Amino acid sequence: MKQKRDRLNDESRLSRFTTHVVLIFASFLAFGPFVWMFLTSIKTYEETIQIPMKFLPEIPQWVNYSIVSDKLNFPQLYLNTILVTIMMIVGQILIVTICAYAFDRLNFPGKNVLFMGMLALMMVPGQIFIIPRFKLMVNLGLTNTLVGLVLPGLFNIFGVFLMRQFFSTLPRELDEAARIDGCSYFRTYWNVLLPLVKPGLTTLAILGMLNTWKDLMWPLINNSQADKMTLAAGLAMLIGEHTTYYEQVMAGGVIAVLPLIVLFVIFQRQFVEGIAHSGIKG
Amino acid sequence: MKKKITALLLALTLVLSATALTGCGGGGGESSDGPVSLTLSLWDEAQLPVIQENVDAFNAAHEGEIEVTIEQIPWDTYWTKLDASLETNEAPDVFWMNTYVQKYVDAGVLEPLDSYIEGESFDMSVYAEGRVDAYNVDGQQYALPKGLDAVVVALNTELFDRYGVELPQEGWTWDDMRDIASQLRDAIAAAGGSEYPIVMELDAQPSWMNFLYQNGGNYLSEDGKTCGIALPESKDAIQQVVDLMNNEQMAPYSVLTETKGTDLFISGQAAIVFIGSWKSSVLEDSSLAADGKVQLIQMPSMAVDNKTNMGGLGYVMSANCENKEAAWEFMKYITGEEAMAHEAEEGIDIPAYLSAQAGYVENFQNINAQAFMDASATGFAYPSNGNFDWTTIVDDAMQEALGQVKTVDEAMDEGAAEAQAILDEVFG
Amino acid sequence: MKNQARHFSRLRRAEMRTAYIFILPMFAGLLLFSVIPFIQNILYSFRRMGTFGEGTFIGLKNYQDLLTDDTFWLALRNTAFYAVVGVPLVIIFSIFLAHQINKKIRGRTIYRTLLFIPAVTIPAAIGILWRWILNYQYGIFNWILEKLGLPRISWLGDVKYVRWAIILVVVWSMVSYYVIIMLAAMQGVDSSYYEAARLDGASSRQVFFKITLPMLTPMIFFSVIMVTIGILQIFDFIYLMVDRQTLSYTYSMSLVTYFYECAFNKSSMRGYGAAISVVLAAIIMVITIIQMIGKKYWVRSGE
Repeated sequence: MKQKRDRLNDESRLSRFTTHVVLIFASFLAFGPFVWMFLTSIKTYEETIQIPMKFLPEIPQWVNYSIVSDKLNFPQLYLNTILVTIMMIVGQILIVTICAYAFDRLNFPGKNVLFMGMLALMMVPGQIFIIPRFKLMVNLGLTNTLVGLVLPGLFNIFGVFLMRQFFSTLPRELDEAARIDGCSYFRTYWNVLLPLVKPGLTTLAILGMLNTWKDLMWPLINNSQADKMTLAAGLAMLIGEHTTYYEQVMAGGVIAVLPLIVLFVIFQRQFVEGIAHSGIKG
Repeated sequence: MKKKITALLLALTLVLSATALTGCGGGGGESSDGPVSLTLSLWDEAQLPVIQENVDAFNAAHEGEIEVTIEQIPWDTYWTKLDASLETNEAPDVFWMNTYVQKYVDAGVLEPLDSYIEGESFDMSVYAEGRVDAYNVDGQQYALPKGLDAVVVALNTELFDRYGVELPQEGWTWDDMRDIASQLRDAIAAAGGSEYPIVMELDAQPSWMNFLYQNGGNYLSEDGKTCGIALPESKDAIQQVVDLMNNEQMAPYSVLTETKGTDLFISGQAAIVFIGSWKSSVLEDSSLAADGKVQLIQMPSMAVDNKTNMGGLGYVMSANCENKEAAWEFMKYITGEEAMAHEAEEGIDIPAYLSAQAGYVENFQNINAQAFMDASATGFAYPSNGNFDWTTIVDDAMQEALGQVKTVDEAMDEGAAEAQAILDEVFG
Repeated sequence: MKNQARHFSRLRRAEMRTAYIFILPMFAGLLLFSVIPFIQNILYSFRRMGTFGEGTFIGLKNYQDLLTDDTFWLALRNTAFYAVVGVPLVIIFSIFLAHQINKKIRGRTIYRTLLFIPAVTIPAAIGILWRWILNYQYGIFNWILEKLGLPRISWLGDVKYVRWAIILVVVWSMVSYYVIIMLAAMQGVDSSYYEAARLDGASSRQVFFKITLPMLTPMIFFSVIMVTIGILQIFDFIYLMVDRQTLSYTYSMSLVTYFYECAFNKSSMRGYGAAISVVLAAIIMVITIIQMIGKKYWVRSGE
């Protein structure tokens, strides 16, 4: 018996060691590139193209950050991205949750058909909408506006599914109690149920934020003016320059990724839960 | 209660942000009191500072009347964005134009300038004639020419010294170039170096567009109706480039794909580069040139000659511009003697404005910029017929030949056939 | 009795009315931004259309042209390549890493943070970063290869390798996201299964293959579908990592990249772009349906 336990301990010690090796290697692969981005961003041009390779700069060239800031108006890009994110999150919460509430709590003719319709529409890949959406934006005069970036993304079908799941976990007694107190449907939804699905709202907000920050194609198409771009489109512009000074490009990259990484480290639990919920089974 | 406030705040933010933003988008500043505001779009980051200075000077001279702001859009996205903005009537009032001019004339988005020119008997002969003609479409003038450009060869003299190879002399030929490249290649290999004898950009203008004509072939016939890339002379020109790569006299296609020829040259990785005059300030400012290691020389001759194609930008006005008189004033200034002399002094462009050309050469300390002037003296106009459906096909065919995914014969034959089908449909 | 029924139906009507009002914003938006565009796009695909204007009706010409368009077939093959190579790699690596990180070992919080960071980084930044890492001359990737005694490779310049470079970055960024999802699924497995197995003296390998993996199948199924859809729509990395004027761009082009180029970058091919998007949508939906049908053969049912 004792022998067996020792064997198990040895096995687990060995496996713990290999686990560490694997995870250190994987962490290096995942995070190493960002370290390299930072190191490159503080080199001189000559140092970036030096052969044999130089890992650390002689003198850190913080000036690259101000050079790249002259090329791209980062405060403006950040402001745009943040405003778009806020509008997206708030808009989605208002539009999506009330729709999800109706589908979960209320009965009405055509409910199932409409729900299946949404399901079908969710399966259609987004590229198919893009040309007509752009033409629509042109007609509405919403090209080169932040609203034009937000509008098509507001009607998030996945969000309805997600929030419906969250609503369905709440007991029906809550609704009945509210009705007896004389609450309207809207007040039941807004005052009673909505506050109870906060984790759902956090998830919706985090996924909305990630999608808005990551999206490249739509901002590229809809907003052509530099002062109306999001960070992603701005970075795409930076790499499109004729002559490529990578130390400047990397400085731009650092400016673009750092805040989100910091935000992630602080709110890691919420982020992880949010992303995990995107794997919820529909 | 607290929840209500939060909800209220959320709703308020949404409404506020929505109104604030649409306000910015739609409002514009076209009030009758303040100065007339104009936007100018251009793509070249390297030229931006100098042009900004010219614009500042113009704004100062028209204080309270006209205010011009520059919007720089990188070349990669310039035309896409321009098309989108023309489509949405948000186009800049004045913008840079090149050989694409016919496309925009056909779309009716450019303002014809004849009435302005005639109205004040503006003298167009102050500009280089070839550049004026390039922007004269169907008898109407659409742009005031900014500059002209030409292609030369830059040599890294340090590499020639280091590997003990003699510098080429004016009047050299491709045979001479091959010979030099072989010597360099062998010496580099013997020394264990990593440099390339020759590099080039993969774009048409600084490279193969010249070779086609220098070898007696063509890209587009004189009447603009026939694509000539499948002519034996054209094929031979491209084959010679491919051979350079295969003989390791030139950097391989994959390397040139990732890093532009000019960048390789400036970073000391190449001894010879075909380079356009629009890169002159990049060259001048490089540490390589500052150390006195760059020498410019005319292109080597192929079977026929060594003439280079000559492009050049122009300033055009959007047909939707709301303040056309102001835009015309600005265009005259920005292509005029004062502004062009400043551009020449800073060496960012060879002026199309003839009397401003003299200043160009003097202001290069590190390179012999006269070479560009010499090349432009014999240059031919960049061939174009205003249709770009066929040119993308030819571009792709060239890349296929240079990248050797097809033989030169295959790529040129197929590309020419496909391009000709479009040309026949459009012009036939 | 009669009164009550009337009262009841009035309530029902009120509920109905409220429901319709509640779903109205959502459905109005979907109608305007999805349903109508969907139909319009299909109509556009029957037209020859440029950057300006509505173009002319040309019937099935765009679709016929697709059949003989080498670039389209290349884009289709590339996209298939990305999916066939990328999906298994993403799934396998993310399960493997989630399993490692799910163990109770010291420092797992740090490992987790580092591993998750690519998932929350904007692809635009990832694209420019890897473009630099993979640079032929000066990239650190080739430097490492050389130190290992391997030859330098022009990852983004050589048409033979550019697809592998793209796949590398796709997998790198997607694994990070799916580790999070797999880990959540693993932590959702009832711990009594593990205790029972341990009492039976099962090795950790046995536990993984006999318990963890089978319990994960619903999530793996879901992830396979999501990763497939995601990779079939790949655009950002190609757009940012490869010089768009060169052969590498054509040779790494995905269907979505080709769609973008036709619809927004060529002077007269917007209708053609619309046709590409219709074909792409059809492909994705067919593959999703096939996977759904395949589901019952390998997903552990009943929870």
